[in-house]
Amino acid sequence: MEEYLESSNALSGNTYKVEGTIDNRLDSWKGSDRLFSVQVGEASSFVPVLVPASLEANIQRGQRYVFKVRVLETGILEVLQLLKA
Amino acid sequence: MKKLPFLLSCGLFPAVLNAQVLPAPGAAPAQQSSPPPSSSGGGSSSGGGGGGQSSQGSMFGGVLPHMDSGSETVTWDGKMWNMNNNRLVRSKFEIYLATPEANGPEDQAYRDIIVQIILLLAPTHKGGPDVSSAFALLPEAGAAKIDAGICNTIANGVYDVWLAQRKVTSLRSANDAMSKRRKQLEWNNEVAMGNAELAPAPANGGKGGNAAGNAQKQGTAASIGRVSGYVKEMAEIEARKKLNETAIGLSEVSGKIQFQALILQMFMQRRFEHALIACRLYPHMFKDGDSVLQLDDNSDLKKAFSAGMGVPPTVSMVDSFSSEAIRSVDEAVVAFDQLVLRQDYQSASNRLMEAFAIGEYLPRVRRLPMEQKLKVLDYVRDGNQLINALEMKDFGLAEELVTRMRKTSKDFDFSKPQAAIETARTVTDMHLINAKAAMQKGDQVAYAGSMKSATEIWPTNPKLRTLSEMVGQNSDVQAQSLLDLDRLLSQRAFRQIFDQQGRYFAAAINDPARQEQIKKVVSDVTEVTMVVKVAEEQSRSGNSFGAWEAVEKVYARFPEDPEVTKIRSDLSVKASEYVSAIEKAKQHEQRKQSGSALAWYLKARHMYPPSSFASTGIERVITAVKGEVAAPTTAP
Repeated sequence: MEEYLESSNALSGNTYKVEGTIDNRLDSWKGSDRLFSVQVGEASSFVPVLVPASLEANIQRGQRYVFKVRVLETGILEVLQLLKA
Repeated sequence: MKKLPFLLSCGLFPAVLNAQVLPAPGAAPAQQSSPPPSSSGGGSSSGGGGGGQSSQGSMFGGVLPHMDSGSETVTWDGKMWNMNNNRLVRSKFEIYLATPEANGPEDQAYRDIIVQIILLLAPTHKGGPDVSSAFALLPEAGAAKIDAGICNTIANGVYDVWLAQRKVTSLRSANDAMSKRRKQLEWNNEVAMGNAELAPAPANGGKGGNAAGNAQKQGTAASIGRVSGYVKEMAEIEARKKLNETAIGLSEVSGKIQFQALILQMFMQRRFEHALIACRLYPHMFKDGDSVLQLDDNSDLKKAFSAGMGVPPTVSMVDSFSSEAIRSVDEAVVAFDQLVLRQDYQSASNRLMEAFAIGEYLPRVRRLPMEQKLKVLDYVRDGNQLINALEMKDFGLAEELVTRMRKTSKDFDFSKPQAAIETARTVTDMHLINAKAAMQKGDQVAYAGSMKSATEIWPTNPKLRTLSEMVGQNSDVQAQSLLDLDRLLSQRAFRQIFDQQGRYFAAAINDPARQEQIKKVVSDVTEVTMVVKVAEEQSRSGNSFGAWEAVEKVYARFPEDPEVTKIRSDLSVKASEYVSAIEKAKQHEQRKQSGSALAWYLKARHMYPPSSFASTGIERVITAVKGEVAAPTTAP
């Protein structure tokens, strides 16, 4: 997580497993893609998570998920799979 | 007292009288007199008067001064003086006040001789006037310094008359002798004419008859020759007698006129005691009983003498006027003494001035104790200075003098000078107010006009100097203030401008552009100050993040403001965690580390949900990421 906070772009292309709580929806993305802020860990760290429309998940604030994410070139985490924790 | 103005008019300028010339009897007047000049021009114009005013209306064709008692002005030589304000009179009077009294032994001896002469000539003198004894004392009196040799002049005048009278006697004797001789010639003439008739008558016919006839003819011719000689000599005698008679008449008139001139001269010189002596000698010099003064009919002097009485001026009149003058001087001095006791120094000095103007040389005036005179000297000096101060428009000094004189003298009439001072003050204040208003408007022309008007009225007005200095200082201050303003603007030291906004607004009063700059500075700094105050309050209530954020916003606009810098520094410590998150987010945003930037912005917003920095940062980053993502998509 610390590495991501220091240089998210450096991690681009990598795939990670992230567990966290949906904090807020930041914006819609490419029409139906959705960008959320997810609170991870105990240090109140947040990461931007992009949920593609193809996943068709009903994501609500406060829900806890386990995400399989890939780091985009922009540093945004794109969700590949998600599972309610 | 009706005589007083005339006496004053005669006495003010005695030096002039030395040049007086009496018109000869029957001679044409040297100057045609005219009615006295109007005094309506009034006031004291010691320096001026009408230069174009002729000598008309003044005595002896301008040789003597003319006084208008109504306006207390004296007209002389085409100029008009106020009698009380005349500088010459004032200075002479001041000298008199500061001079010790003439009571030395020499003066006393002189006074005794004069008194003795007057007594010897008085009609009441036992055994009648003693002219010879009086005449004998004249040279002794004339030797005294104070007499100025006037008694000698009288003695000379008397002697001249005596010589003239001796000449007349000689001429009369000569005429008597010539009359006797004429009678002899008349007898001879008659005898000669008789001899012609006694000659034998010529015989008729014959030689003898012819011879007798010839002899008779020769005798008749001789008689005619003698008679014609007698007639011629008689005619010469008659002509010589007529000449002598004319000379006798002229000598008598000339002697009278000369002595009358002497009397008038002394009278005009205010040498009244000498005039008295001469007047009392006159009837002993001229015993024909005719004492009418031989003045030109058109002369003002004759008019002045006879105007009030309708009779021709006489020697007795001069005698009377002289006695009256001496008496009035005595009265004035007595009044002076009493007024000094009452501390009525104005009236006292006026009475003494009158006495001095009339009888400068009289013993009562000359011997007035110095101690008495000194009591009014300071007052008179202040009065003279007051007149000068008012003439010079130094109303500040005039006011000081008025205050002092009011304390000194109980009867000082301060109304006129006080009114003049107050008027000057009011009018100059008005002009100065106008000048100030003009200065504030930047109207230099109006300012200069008002200052000039104020200066003309009261040149030494201290307010004038104060305003002038203030304007000068203001000019310097204004220039310096504008320089400072420009410097501070260039340094963006708005807080300093704000702190002295009054000074800079005043300096830039005529500079709209600078005024706008100052207004903006004041508006900005007011806003900053409010933000700082609010931030301080937020910080105190535990909202350090919000306080920092508010301060940070104004810091971006006014990074040089010391207040902002200080509180920003303080709040950066207090809200260090939040500040660090925002700063890191910004850094990552700048480095296009959008994921990291968003992570830090999100963290910051978590710490301070109302954070506008975080919200706008998130928005900005997302927008940027959208653009990056969209670009490859839309690209072919």
